[in-house]
Amino acid sequence: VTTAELGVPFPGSRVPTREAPHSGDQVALGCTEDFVAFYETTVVEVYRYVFTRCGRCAQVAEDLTQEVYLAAVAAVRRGALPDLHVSWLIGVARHKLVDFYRRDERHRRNLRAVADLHRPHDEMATWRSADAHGPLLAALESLPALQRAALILRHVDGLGVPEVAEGIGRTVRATESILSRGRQALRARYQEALHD
Amino acid sequence: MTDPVLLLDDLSAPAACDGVAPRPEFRHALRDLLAHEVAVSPGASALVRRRRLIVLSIAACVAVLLVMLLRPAAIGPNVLETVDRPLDPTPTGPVLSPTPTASGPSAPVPAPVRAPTPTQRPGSTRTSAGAAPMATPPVASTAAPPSLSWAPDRFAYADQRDDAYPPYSSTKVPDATLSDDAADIVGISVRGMDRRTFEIELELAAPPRDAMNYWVSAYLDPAHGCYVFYFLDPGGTPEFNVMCANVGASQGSGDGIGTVQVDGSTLRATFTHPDSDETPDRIAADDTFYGFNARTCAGTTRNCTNANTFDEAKSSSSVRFRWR
Repeated sequence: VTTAELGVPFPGSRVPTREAPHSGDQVALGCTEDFVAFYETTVVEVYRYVFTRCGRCAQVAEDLTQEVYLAAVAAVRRGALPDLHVSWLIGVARHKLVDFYRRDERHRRNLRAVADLHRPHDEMATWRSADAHGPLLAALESLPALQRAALILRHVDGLGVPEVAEGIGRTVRATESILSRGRQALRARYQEALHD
Repeated sequence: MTDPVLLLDDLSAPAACDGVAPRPEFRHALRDLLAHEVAVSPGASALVRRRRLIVLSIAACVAVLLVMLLRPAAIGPNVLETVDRPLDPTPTGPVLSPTPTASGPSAPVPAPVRAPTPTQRPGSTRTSAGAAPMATPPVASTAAPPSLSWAPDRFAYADQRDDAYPPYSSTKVPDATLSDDAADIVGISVRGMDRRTFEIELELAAPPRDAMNYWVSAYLDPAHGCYVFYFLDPGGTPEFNVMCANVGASQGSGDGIGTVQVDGSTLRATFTHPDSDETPDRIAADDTFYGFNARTCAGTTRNCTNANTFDEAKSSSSVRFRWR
């Protein structure tokens, strides 16, 4: 079963398969044991995927990982997905990430509406974590959700512009514009983060 | 300085994922959750499917029943109501009113009333240019059916002039002792084609008799004091004559359109009033209301307008409406 047959959201995407030796196997979900086994072999990969793209926040990554697998269960229940593949999970995870970016921006807007808060919220604190990618994550954090999602899908996941456009629900031309403005903003914010 | 866009690729590099793994507690909890969800899903989905089937079946049955029940009600009564709707004398729409008959099963029994003649009205100086002064003939009519076009307030208005125009303007529809010929005219329908054109239809108990004329008298708003007499002579030309008491002379007359059509026991003719200063405007005026009264009259058409022949008028039936 290919990703296209499974209706994977981002065809042609660069599906990470590192450190998941069995994740490429197809799994026929005939019983609970099969699904649990599939979960055990793919959960690390899914978790890492969302963790490295959500600002390295464990809490957010756990929530998104759970959403991904519950979506898989729902698909199995509907009978829409007799066989499951890890690429399907990654595709779902991408959608969940984009949704997360949007929710996060709405949340930040709401917070700004009630108070002059510079910190978005606790969940995003790790965007500023002092690891090697601290300034980069901080710069990403400060970007609007759409720009952040587009940059991550384009430069972290390695998707083509049409796939990015499909993922964020914009036209290709609009996505190119979003990417262009996002790169400029990222560079500016990255400079600021380095000096902070 | 390194371009941060290029650094983005490092976020997915293996080095960035070193040591990244879900907490064991989370991993186990999610596994248990998923195991539970998957375990209950087949039965649950089957149950859901079964429930959906049941609900859909019930809904389909209800829909079919509703269609079967509502369809006759939606078609039959509405159509009938459109056709048999009581008189609705809107100027632009067809108006038709069934008239009760003296022998009708549902006709109320009116109290006998002798109507005063027009000459008894105070201040009446009416003279007819071709006919003798008219008197309102004795009327043997039955109560008009409840009509949507007659509201109580209009009756109240008419009652104020009940003494002047009793046969037509009162809610107490006058009656006279019905003669043997009373049932000769069993119904009258008046249809307003426009504000000046009427189609009058008389329903007879039997095909029209050659020796009998059929005479429809109508009155206008008492404030204008006008009568209109319609003559339906089978085989002849429909005529009408308008007389207004407050003017004191015939205010117009003319022929109707075509001939009096006979269709079995039905007489039908169309009248268009002349465009005079008096009658048409009176007829067309808002709040003007008509009372139609039909009767038979032995002799010639003109004789029916003669006071001497009034006593010969036999049956009558009335229908009333007003313009809006």
